[in-house]
Amino acid sequence: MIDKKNVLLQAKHLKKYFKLSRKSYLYAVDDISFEIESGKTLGLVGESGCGKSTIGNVVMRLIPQTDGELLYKGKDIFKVDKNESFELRKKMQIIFQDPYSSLNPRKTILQILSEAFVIQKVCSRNEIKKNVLELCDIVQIPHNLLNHYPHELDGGMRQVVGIARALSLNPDFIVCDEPVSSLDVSVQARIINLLMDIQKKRKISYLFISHDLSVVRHISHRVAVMYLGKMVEIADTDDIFRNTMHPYSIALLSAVPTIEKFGENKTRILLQGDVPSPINPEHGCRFVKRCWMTGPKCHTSEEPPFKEVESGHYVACFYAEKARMLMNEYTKNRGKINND
Amino acid sequence: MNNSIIWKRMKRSPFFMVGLIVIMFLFVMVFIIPSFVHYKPTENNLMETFRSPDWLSKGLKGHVLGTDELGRDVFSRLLYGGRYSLMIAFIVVFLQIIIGTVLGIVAGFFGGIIDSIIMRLCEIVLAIPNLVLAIAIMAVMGKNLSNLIFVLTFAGWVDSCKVTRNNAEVVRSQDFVRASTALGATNSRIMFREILPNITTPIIILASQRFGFTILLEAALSFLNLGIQPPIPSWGNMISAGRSFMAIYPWLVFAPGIALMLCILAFNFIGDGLRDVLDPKRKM
Amino acid sequence: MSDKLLEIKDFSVKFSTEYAEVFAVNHVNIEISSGESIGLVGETGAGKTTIALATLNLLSKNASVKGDILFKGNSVFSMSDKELRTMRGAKIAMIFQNPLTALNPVFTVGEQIAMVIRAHENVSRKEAMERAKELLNMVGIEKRRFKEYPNQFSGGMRQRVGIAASLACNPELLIADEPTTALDVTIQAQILELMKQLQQKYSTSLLMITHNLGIIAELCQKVAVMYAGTIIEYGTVKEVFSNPLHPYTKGLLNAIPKLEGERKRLEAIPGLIADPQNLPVGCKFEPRCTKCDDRCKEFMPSMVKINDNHYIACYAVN
Repeated sequence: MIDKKNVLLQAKHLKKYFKLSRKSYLYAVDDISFEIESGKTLGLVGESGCGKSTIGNVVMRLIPQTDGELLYKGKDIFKVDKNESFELRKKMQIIFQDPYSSLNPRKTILQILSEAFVIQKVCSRNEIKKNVLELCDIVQIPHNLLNHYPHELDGGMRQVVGIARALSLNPDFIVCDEPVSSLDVSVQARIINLLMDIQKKRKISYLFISHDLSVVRHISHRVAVMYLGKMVEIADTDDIFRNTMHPYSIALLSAVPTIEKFGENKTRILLQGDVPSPINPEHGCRFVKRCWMTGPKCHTSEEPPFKEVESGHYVACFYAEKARMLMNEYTKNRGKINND
Repeated sequence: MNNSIIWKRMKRSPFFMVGLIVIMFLFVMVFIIPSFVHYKPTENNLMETFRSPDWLSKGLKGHVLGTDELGRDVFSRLLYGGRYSLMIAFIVVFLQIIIGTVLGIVAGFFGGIIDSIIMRLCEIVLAIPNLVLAIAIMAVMGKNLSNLIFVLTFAGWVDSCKVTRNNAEVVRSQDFVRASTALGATNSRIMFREILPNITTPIIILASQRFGFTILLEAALSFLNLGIQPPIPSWGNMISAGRSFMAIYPWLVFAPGIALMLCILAFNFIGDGLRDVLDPKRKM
Repeated sequence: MSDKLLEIKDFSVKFSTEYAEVFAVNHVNIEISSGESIGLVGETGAGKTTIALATLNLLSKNASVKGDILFKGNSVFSMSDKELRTMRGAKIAMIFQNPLTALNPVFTVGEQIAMVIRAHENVSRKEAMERAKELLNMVGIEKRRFKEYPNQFSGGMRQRVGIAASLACNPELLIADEPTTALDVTIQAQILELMKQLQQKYSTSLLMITHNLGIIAELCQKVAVMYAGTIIEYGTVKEVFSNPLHPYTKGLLNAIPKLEGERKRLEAIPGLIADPQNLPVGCKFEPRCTKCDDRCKEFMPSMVKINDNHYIACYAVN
């Protein structure tokens, strides 16, 4: 459930289309809306081509949007002037996936972490180092690393530097674009714990983009599932994992290999075919070609509306409840379903 | 990259070391030795024309490489000529790199129309034959030093532009550039403080390669009497002048010719060697 | 008693690079019998890929090895070139991580599979191509696509082609090195199901290398947990995952967020991942272990049997 009074960021009907040639467009993000409360995390999951990374870039205004509004504390930040846009950079920051390319290899850690202060001119030159040292203490970067170059640090530490950089201007919103996907399991845990601790201490909102469902479940308060530029389901975390309703979300969840169910015959829904491309998609439901339980309405050119099926739980499917029921049945009979 | 690793690699690259030693030798010859040479390069002495080389029999007081048709000391002319050639080459390569780098970074960073325009400009310049253009400009606008430098610079900035642009494009897509944008950095800050430091390696390698080329082009122009004008010596115009006497007094041509060859070879070696030294993935 | 297909005996690999010496693999012992599937799990730098390449004697020139790897009783390091060629592809086949680079872009997929067949068997081109088409069908690709090129396939499809090629000559041992890491979750599921089916049908032995414990749980009977080039715990999947004993294994399992059940705070293993250029003399995990003592600093613990299905190399476990 969303507490309307506590909403920090609201995206309304965001669209981002890339023009590939005169007649062909890539519909990376196609009418996405969501709200994020202050101090909470919205997890964004999906496979390649679903548009989740593009949303991160659009929300951070790193690429221009094709259409839509982005309300930060009620104000549409797509339409603000240059000065305000510059000021807003302090409030909204981003952490990247690749620890190797997210830090300038020619700069020392000190220079990298000082950058924010220099660009935004928030303090005098002599205060910069002091601020950087404070930053290091918050995320536990040993001070002696400040004179080192990124290639001298391991992946996990580099990611911590990236987090420190994002925190330097005291933002209230951070886009986390697959921040742990390139890291080893033991290092992942450290970063996830760090992110969660910081969120609690500083009441920062996260848009947590990832393809790893278990990580998303752990860190998010609400989760949204994306497919081919569309949002197919969104709900509170517990809700979406225990009461999954969209056929794609159900299949996605069932696809993850887990330790918990080894030995038993896991109920798995196998989708046929490949993840399709978001170039010039057809009208109507985008999932229909791979769906395991289509009905008559699915084959028309009508798009399933994004409806609230239960409190705070939205699904874009004509037969959402039926999908849930079918899945429960299959699980009871412990079968495996192949889409035919 | 670790400095000691670079030094280790330098020692292991025979090309680089040979090139480096020859260039250092040339520098010493051209900038330091002339003060010890007895004769001035433009000092005519019609009593001493066409003397054969004393080599080192009289030390630096003799005519080490003999004299030319006007009695001028060849050795002295060789060294001073080298000085001019090298200095011009440095200035020209410096200008080429500056122009090419700035245009290249702008093209690589902005992409789109700006990139297209700059790239088309490069292609147009490449399509113009250097020598023909040089001849046209020097002949029409006068054979002075600034025109020479202009012509030489014009002939060679395109390479650095293309190399810079390709590398800048690659770096531009890296996450740390996006991170800077997210912090509010301006475009020029990103281009020159984030991207530029990451593309210095190919630029350095290119610069060392362009030296040889520029010296050769200057020599060619001087040979055609479009470059450095006599009586100021240049290896090119010395070869040109000595041509007529080659059968009888071959050292008039050989001396500047060999000097030219050594110089270009050395710069090429350094260029090749630097590639091995700075780019660890190439197999030597 | 099923005969031992692969025996890796006290095996170590050291790489000499421009920067330093890298001790990638240290005294590893693994046995695979026919029909068995073993998972080799570990994080970056654990040495898993090195072992895979060593089994096929495909290590780079700057590698020096100690110990031995025996395939059906014969050391792969003393085989002649001819024997190696017979072994590679036909008796032991490998599936690589990156489907993009594992296939040659200038040959059709049919040709590539047929090439594998013809390299090991004396059959006509036509027959090889027919078998290639059968193989494509078996991995779920339409037969008529045999004349398409790799770039016309998606990542998941290419990996299927890779699997088809590896199975072309009915190998006795299949080594899969992170075959699904580069693939989307739903595609990964397809590949895993395919591998399960093929396993049941052909009873090929499998050495599955991955950092993903869930995949091992699904595909393998036994698991070997590696850290810094050594195996620190070994046993059946059921035993090791439900009753992990080594502090590293425990730490690993507690560091993974769960898809079901209570959301507990993740346990981060303190310290940094071992640097293979700078390994401690004793137990490699000692610098990060909370349960170690002086013995662990001085001596490498050897594998101790806990029960028939569980072995561990740790002094802290009685």
